[in-house]
Amino acid sequence: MSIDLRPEPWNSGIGLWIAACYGFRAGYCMRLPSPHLALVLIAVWCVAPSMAAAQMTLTYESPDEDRLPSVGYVSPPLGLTECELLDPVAFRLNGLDTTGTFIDIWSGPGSTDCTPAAARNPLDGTCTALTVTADTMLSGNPVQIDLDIAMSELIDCAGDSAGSTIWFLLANTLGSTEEVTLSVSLPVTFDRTQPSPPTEIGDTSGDTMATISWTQASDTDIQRYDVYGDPGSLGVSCDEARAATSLVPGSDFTAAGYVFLGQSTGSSTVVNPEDLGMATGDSATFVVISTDQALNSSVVSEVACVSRIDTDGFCDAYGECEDCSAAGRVGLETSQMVSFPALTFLFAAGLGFARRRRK
Amino acid sequence: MKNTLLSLAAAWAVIAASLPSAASAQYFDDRSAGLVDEIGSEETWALEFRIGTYQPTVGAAFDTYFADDTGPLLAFEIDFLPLEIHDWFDAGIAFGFGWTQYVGFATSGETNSSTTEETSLTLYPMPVLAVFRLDALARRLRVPLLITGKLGAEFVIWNSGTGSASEATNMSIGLHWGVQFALELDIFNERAARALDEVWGINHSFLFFELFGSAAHSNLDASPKDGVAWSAGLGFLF
Repeated sequence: MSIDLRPEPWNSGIGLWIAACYGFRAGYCMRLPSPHLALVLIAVWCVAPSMAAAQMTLTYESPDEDRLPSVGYVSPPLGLTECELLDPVAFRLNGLDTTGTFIDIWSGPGSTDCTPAAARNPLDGTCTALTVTADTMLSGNPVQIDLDIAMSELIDCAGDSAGSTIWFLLANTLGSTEEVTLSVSLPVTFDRTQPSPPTEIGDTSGDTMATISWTQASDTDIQRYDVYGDPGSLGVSCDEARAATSLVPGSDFTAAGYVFLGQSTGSSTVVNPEDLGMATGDSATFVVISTDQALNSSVVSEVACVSRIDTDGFCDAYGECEDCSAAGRVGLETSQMVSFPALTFLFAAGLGFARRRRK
Repeated sequence: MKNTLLSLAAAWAVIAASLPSAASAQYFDDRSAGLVDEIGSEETWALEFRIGTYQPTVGAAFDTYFADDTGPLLAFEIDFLPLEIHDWFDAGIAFGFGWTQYVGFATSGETNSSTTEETSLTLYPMPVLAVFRLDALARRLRVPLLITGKLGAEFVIWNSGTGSASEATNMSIGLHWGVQFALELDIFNERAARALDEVWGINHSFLFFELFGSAAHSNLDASPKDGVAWSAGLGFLF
């Protein structure tokens, strides 16, 4: 996942206006006095971004590829699981200039602004200088720099429940208490609330495709629903399997010992009974677990049960499938396989003898 | 097999009859009088993209699982038209490739009730055809219509499966015919048509409607259920 924290281009409106005027031949807006002025305006439009105030920007890529993409300037809430991931997050700072020689990383509680010098005053400031491996001295006046930082270096995963804002400052010293000219922030909030499990779990038996359905949880930050099967309840009827399963609705779920069979962002998914080792006549129990954007998991849902049954499809009704399905081979006779290229060759040969016509 | 061979023989006879002999070579001279195309580059090929509704005949098994499923049939066709006959027709060969799939729900083997397990039948029709295109209306009389007849062999590879299992793959062969009516789009914007030729070498573009039939039933009966099916689409002559 890559999250872009760059601000909107200040001049996009002007650019669109010029493009519209030029595109519509000035029919719907102020007529341009001359082609020369139009060229000047376009040149200004192109050059303007470099003349605008310098702006440092930040993008980062989460090591958790399951996270949903985030839109906007506020990063999605972090859950305890993601916070504690050991893999570093790849940060990229863009738009650096020569006003500083260090990347100095600070943290402030909540949405505290750490750019004023007073906020970083060691006596009464609310921000804290972080001592992280990514604090770095810049050499060669780079415009861009990549930093790999584990989230645990930036925030206290266990203790910081209110969230914080991480500030990347371009400064002349580490732990700087002077004013800075360039900065960019990363708001970090926590979500440790367990989502609700889905309800009204439904099940439809099949041979190689069985369907598990549910009513979605009411939480607004659900990312996906995971379906797990209990391989310990095979070989019996559904009533017996339900009685024998170790899956207890409402209890905390740990995936250990269960088989992950599929996931969905909707309200149903198809599972293959073969994946659970089910033979025809076997029954097995399933549960569905909600997972939110912060990777918090719900408790165990109600238990569903599916039996593996014989099904009849098109080939069962259309008897001539049997000839080619018994050995699992493509049932083409040799003459049929030869006839196709042979006919094509004859066509091509016939045309080769004809004179070609140009129209 | 006998029917198959007869079908192939008939198709070849039609093609052979359409090929020029030494005695009739004068019909294929370059730039025949009065047939100078106003759009300049060489025109030998046609490419057609089509969509249509189509149900194979098959029988009761099809009706049981896919009764209301009409495809659609998606296909393309490449025509090679190097020949000119009597200044009225273009002639050549065509190869097409299509895809259509029918999906229904399998039934329980015990209770015969419907399940959520899917059963499917996929067809890949591949016609190899002799093509005769009447283009004199458009070239001589400026009536933007092309009428095309097609006749040849069709190879229909089919596959069926239920659930996650593929149960059968096979091929049917038989005759295929088609009649196509096309409206050339040049008349709507001749400048654009000319530009298309200059930039891409596309002489003409056209919308078409085609009726077709098939007797590809050597294995699975892939002939249209109602005897005739239709398709429509966009084509280019280049």
